[in-house]
Amino acid sequence: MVVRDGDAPLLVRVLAASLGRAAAQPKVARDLRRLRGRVGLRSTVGPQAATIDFAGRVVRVTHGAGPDVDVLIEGDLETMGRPGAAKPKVSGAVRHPRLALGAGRVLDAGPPGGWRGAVDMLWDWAQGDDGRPELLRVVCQDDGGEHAVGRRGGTRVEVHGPDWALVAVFTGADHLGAALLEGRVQVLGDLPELSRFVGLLTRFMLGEDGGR
Amino acid sequence: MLADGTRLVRIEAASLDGPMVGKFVSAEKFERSLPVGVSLADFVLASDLAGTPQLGWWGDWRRPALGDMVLRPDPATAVVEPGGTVSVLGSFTDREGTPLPVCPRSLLAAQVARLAALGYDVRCAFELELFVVEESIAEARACGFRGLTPLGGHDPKPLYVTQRAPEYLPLLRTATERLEQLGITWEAFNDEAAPGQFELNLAPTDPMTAADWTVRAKRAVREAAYAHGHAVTFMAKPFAAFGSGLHLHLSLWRDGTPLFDRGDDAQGHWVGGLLATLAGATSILVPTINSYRRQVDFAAVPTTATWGEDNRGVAVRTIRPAVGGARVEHRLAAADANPYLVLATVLAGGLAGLEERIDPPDPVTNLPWGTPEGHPRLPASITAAADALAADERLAKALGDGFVEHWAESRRWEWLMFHSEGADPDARDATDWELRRYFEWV
Repeated sequence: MVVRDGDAPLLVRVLAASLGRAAAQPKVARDLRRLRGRVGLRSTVGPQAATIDFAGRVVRVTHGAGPDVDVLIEGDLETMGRPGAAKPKVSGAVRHPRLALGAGRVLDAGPPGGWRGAVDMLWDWAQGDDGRPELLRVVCQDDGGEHAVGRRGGTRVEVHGPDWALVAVFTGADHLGAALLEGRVQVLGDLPELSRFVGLLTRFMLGEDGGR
Repeated sequence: MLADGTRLVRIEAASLDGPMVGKFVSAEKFERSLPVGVSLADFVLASDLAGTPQLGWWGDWRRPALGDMVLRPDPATAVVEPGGTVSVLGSFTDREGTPLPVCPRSLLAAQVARLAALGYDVRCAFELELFVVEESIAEARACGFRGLTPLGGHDPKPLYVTQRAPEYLPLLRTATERLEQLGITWEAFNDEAAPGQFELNLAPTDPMTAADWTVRAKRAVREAAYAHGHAVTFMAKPFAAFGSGLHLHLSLWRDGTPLFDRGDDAQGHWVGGLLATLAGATSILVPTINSYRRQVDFAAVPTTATWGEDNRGVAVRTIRPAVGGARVEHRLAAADANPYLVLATVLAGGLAGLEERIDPPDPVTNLPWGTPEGHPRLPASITAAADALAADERLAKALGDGFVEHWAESRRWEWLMFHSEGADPDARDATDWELRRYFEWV
């Protein structure tokens, strides 16, 4: 179980939501149960910082990264994972190798099935959410691969982008609005549908309940 | 409606976050646009104070591809300014002239109409608190509004001091002249608790005029400060010491009789309604990330859902002078709140109290902080307040689901922008992000 404070800052919410979804994968859940220790994440380009306290059945994500963490990961948290991004600096890995490796595994745990799997996971989560279009079509610009969920004939949103950007958007690691404005993905759809879909993805990113 | 010789018309209205938006148009263009008004892009009401379009929800009032809305002038607000420019305030409508559900002025008009339908009217007045700094607006912009010196310096000082008048009286004289040119009746100007902080008291009037006067008074003070080489801000807490509020004094009348003067049940129900809707109202009255820095205990700022007689610690202070003038002072609104929305929300709460005959809780006779029994706390963050508003059925019924959804989502957007644009969530005082976003615009 992944828990966080109710009124937590953005990074804490995103991390807790991401870990919570990853924990639905049996292999990741097993890793999470075995890990023990405190891992800090700290941005090198802004004030954002969080600590993940792995304590067996409960994983707690809190604001800030103090000197008491066992492993500290520092980097540009916004661009981490993008092609060409600088590798993060990891401190404490020599003293706590299993924690550092295990934390890296669970934090990097993408959805099974790559970007298609991420789209499917989002689609399932979004049932009943008024931001879900009737048809979502996703096109991977790396290989032209397509994936559509929903039914034709109603509201429709399309998202086009490279593999890594689609994974980031559909796992909640990147905000669709920012990804669109900064050119990482392109979209097709009416502005009302698109705006509502951004809202859906924001709620997904923050770990809020679907169905608004 | 324009006098001969008019060449320029300034038509404007307060947007949701407060900045006045509109156009300067030729007299011919203005006359041609009547009675509909002039067109503006509708995303004026769906973009934030940095001009970023807000994404994440959609109101049916919006046109699907950044289309037009209309700024419809209210001829009753026309004033001729020195130099001959005619200044008019207006409301936002769709192209057919129907008020938009998120138009601040129309939301207030709707509550005033509800009051009138029940046979009531209201007299009210705002108190505006503000900070003046030594620097000019150009100097303030150049340093990102960081490191500014309040007029008179940073050192703590007594309250209500008059002996520094030589430093600020020229500015106040210009400001009061501007107020009078804009047709605003003002009552008092005084030095306030923090260095560089002042309070302007406007005269009691009807609700729409009170809100119109307030947005124009902010303009008058701003222009006076600029003319004297100073910048001014209506941020709730630009500096560490003390915050600025927008207190609202209000009395309820029926058939020309002030009801609060005679101890009518209406006062109790009015206060009961205000208290019952206070948590939801917090989102509108305490609207920005910066507003919540003002919400601290023991600073004469309400942090609890409480009321009391002549008690400056509570949210709703009843005042009963020796002779006449009984009123309620609503103390929650921050200086950066939109006065139309403040009044619409307060009237909606009071009306709920009258209609449902809501009794208030017991009054608080001491300071409402630090007591063993405690008092109900108001939402302490912009997201908690947005959630409280979204859950308030009374305010949704009175103000409309369309407005409440748009407002609550826009506050969640504000939170998202604060956190995703590099602002420090641990900062004790206003961050650079807040200063750049709010100093000049609220």
